[in-house]
Amino acid sequence: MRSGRLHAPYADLAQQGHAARLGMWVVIASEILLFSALFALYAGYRMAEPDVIRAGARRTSLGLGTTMTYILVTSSFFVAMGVAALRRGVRRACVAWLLAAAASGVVFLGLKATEYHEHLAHGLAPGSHFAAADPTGGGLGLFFALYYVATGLHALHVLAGVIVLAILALGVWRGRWDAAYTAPVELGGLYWHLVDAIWLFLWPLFYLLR
Amino acid sequence: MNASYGLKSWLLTKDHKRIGLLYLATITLFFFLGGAFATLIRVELLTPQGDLVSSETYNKLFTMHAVAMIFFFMIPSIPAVLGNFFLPIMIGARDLAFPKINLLSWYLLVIGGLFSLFAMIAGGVDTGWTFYTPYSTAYSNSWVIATALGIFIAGFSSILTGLNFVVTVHTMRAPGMTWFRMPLFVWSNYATSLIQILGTPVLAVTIVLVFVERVFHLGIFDPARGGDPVLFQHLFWFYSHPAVYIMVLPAMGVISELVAAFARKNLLSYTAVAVSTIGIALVGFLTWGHHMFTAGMSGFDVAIFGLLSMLVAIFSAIKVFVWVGTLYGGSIALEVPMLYALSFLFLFSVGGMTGVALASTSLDLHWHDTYFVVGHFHLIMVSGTLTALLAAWHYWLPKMFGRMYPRRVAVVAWALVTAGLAATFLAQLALGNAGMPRRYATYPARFEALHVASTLGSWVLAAGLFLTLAYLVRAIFRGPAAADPWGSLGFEWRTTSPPPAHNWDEPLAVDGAPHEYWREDPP
Amino acid sequence: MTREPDHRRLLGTFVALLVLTSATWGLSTLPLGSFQVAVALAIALAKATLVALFFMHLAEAPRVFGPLLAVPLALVVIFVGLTAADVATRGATPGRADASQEPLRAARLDGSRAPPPPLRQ
Repeated sequence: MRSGRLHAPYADLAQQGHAARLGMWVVIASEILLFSALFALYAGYRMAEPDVIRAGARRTSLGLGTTMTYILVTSSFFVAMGVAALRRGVRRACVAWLLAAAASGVVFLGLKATEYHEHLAHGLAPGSHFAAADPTGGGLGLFFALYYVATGLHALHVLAGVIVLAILALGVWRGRWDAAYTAPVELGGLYWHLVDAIWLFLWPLFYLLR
Repeated sequence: MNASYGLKSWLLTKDHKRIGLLYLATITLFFFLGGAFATLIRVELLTPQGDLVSSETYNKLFTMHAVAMIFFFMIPSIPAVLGNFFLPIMIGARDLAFPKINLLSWYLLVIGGLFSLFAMIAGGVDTGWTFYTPYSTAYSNSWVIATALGIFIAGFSSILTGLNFVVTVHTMRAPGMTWFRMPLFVWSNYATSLIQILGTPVLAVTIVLVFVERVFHLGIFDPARGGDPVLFQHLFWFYSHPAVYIMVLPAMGVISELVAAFARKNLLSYTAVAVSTIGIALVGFLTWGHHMFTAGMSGFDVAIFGLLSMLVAIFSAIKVFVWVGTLYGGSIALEVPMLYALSFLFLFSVGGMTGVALASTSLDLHWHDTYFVVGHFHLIMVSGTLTALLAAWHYWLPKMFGRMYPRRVAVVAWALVTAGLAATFLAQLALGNAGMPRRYATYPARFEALHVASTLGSWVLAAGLFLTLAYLVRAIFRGPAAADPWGSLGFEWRTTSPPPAHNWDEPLAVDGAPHEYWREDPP
Repeated sequence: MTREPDHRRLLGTFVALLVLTSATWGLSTLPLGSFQVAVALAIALAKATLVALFFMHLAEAPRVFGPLLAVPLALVVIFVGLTAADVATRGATPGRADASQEPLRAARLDGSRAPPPPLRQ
């Protein structure tokens, strides 16, 4: 066993791994509530002005949004395969799966950037000058305000996830983590799945329900 | 604990006990800062005219009083100081599960505190600690963003502390330490941590929304742009109401420990207190709407939130009955910690029962935004949490430092603090019922007598607190040596005072719940 | 290697996720009216459950992890539900004028959207 893996105050790696996993699930619980505030806000405005919110959703790109959903779901699968590979002790395969997932994340971010760019080109920038040109009298501006905040916050999580996956891939490549201690890779995987799961809700709310 | 010396050994420490003491220094600073603002407010209110400060400055004073007290004193107070110090010891662990994260969360609190301090020095903030929109996002010309950023950062400190406690309780308990053998102080910190983990992220997003709205004018909460400010209040109170339980649950944990220790009886029902602790944490999340009864929320929601709010009172009442029932027939030692616990029982009950009254929507229409509300929540926060904190410091001072406080002086300070608290806040209840609205620097002359009473009370309280500060600081460094003055059966007393570097020279052997006094003298 | 049970399970989950994603897309084109939101969110929840159970290994995790996910989800439902209920039932409050209860509509009706004074900070 490699030294330096076991940290104070743990008795053994099993206890340390259990604590780390539990900690990650606590973070996940926290993240769920983080996004719940935006869902509550969305629900409130959808109750007040369903037609305006629908009108807003018609202005987002269904094609791009759906593509991004498929990409994130696929990347989630890659990460799950990576963790499974590491558990079996096949480090090389694990590195490949993790890098594939990170690459998917980069593609996702690229599509997101393209989408933002298109919105801006169509004058859908949120803020003071939006309201002036808004035929729905503020409603569409509100939709896009929520859209930018929610997808922007999610994109930041994707960015963090890509960095984490890259670091994990490097660590596995160098033999820092292997079948004897998979907890760090599992934790990174859990985080990536969470980011995927949140998008599964953002996608219908901001793209599909038009 | 005193294995190494020097500034560096403190600033880079991973020992939960030392980190607890770092928190202690930090929150004491903010407590006296917040107290200074409070004193200025009370002095201004001595006369009906606004002769000390302008209305604008007054708005800044009550905002900064609340920001300093709530986010940088009250929320980290008992959990981050005493929880940090005692939670691992009480469950027989060598440290918290994530010592580095523990240190990080102290630094986050300090950084957040510096941002908010900067805002206070640079010109202050006048929105009220609630940052209600659209005032905070479209109109206020004060340091909203810097203050909010400070709170945002401190929020992550709070989340990480909660994470650490939850994982520690789940994974680091000593052999034999089952859930229902854990000291009740641990239960209360566990429940508090759940709220910190689940509530604080909502505050973080709310602050982000205030930030983007203020900078980019998105209009999410601005009626002039189609937004709905009531939705802001939903978001804000979804955190900030449970935050009240972040502040008061640990205090309840302290009282549970003290009542058992000084009545020399196990609690009437350990299980009832433990379960009601978790109950408060969960039900506390269902009551946020009672802050919005007059804000334009629908009648349907008003009815629901009114009912749900009363549930909390049931759980709190269970605790109060258990404490009182435990004292009944106990051999009570009226030491200073117990005196503070008795003050808590009396004043907290008044605060709690006025809360039930406020949850009745018809009564709330009369009392909303009056001094009745101010009196109510100060009775919970100050007479509840601060009193429990003082009780805890006196109780655990020998444990933490191996030293004793001067008993006579401490009794005098206790009398001053209790009298001061009662005068200050009971007068405010009367003021509010008479119709005095909160957050005004000037008022009609007929309220003057009660305001003077409240201000005089605050001076008595301040005198008691300064006296306490003086003798506690002296006792920490020069007090007479004391290791175990109470004969308490709490698990934390089974190690040496102060505890050694990893808490236990010999692992804690758990053979039952704490405070089982029936074992030492059978009936 | 795909014959190993773990792999088969992961692959099965992946395929189910792809199918459900396509189903959401397909269903969104149907005129389901107000059921549309419910259907879309139900499928999203089903997908997230699959991810949690199999990709995140919740199905085989110690029992403590279940409540750790269930409690926050219940809180989200309560949070979103009571907030939405407030907005949805505002017009129903007896004795209160409709317009004053609905800031969104009120702002649009009165048409005056004077920008707030500029901030100094």
